[in-house]
Amino acid sequence: MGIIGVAWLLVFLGSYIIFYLIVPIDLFPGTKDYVLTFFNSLLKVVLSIFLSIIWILIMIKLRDIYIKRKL
Amino acid sequence: MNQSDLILLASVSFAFTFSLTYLLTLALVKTLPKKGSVVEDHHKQGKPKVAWPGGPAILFSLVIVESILYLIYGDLRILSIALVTIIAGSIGLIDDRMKFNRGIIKPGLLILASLPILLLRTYNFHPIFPIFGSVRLSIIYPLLVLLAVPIVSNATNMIDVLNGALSGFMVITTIPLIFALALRPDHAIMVAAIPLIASSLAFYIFHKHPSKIFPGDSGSLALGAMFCAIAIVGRVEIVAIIAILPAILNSFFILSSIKGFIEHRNIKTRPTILLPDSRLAASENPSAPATLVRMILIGGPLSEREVVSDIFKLSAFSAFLAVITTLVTWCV
Repeated sequence: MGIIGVAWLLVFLGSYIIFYLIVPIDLFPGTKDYVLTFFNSLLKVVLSIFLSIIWILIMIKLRDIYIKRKL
Repeated sequence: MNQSDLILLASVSFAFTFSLTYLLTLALVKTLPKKGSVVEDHHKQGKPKVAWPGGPAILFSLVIVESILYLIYGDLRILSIALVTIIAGSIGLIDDRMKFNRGIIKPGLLILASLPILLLRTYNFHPIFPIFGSVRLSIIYPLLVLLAVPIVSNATNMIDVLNGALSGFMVITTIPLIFALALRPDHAIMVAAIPLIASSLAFYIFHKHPSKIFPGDSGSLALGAMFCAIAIVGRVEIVAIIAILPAILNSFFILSSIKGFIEHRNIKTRPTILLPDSRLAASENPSAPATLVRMILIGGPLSEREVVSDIFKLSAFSAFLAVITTLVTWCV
């Protein structure tokens, strides 16, 4: 139940970080240059993927800790 | 549609699906062994033969009732649910009969099951998140739809390892989904979700310990795909993710421990061991996959019934968290 609870909290926390902190990022405010807009969007995608990888690593770590503690 | 009509339709939908699945499963329990369509129950001494696959009973009753509901409501979203269920169930039926040996084939084919949602445009690319509401994901959302059906239906398939686990799990997991659809409110999809719970419950009567029938991939994929389709067209994606967390984590832990897609029948090192007293114990082999059942058994050997009961407790906990998520999303 602990792992499920942590996963639930991480879904909340992750969506908060992505949609409140990452999505509003605007490195080049007011620009109409497609290249700069593309790089701005790319940065958001990279940061979101990075967060997802962290989520996966936390889950794997929790699983390993649980198995080691019980065995 | 007024409230009394809605309650009547929901009740009739439940009763009809339940009766249809019950009668069809009963027929399969009697006819499949005569045709030699049986498999061994590996978690029991003597490995008794059990009728298989019971999926067609689930698939047929779900599709019949969803088609009737589509005719009543004329809502394309209900048609999407029916089509997704048919395609996923058919892929499962092919797998039951022909056995896909390469693990990636089934998830790959299940992408086809996502297509009705995309082609009928019954998705909304503004998923609703708890606390901060809907967000616009116009480009990435259709890609997520393509991935969601294979992921969820494979996750439900992977939890189908013990007597009654899948059908009971689906009953518990669908409750918060119906609660969220009632609270949104989206009555058409709420009524369309009721057959899922009714069919799972009717099948559970035969699937519970000791099983008289196994659903096979046709049953598990159809149930998982339908759950996913309801979540997408009903815009209750986050609630669905939370509700189905035990299955998602189970498949994630398996995939991360065996490092890739593989059919469960092709896993060389078994995650559990059957003891002489019929109890199950966790394998201590480090290369054994870290399944949910193995993690439950790490605390000590348990009977099959006790393990299934623990899976239901985890599902109930997830369902509780999904209900909290629903309340936070639509009441705060």
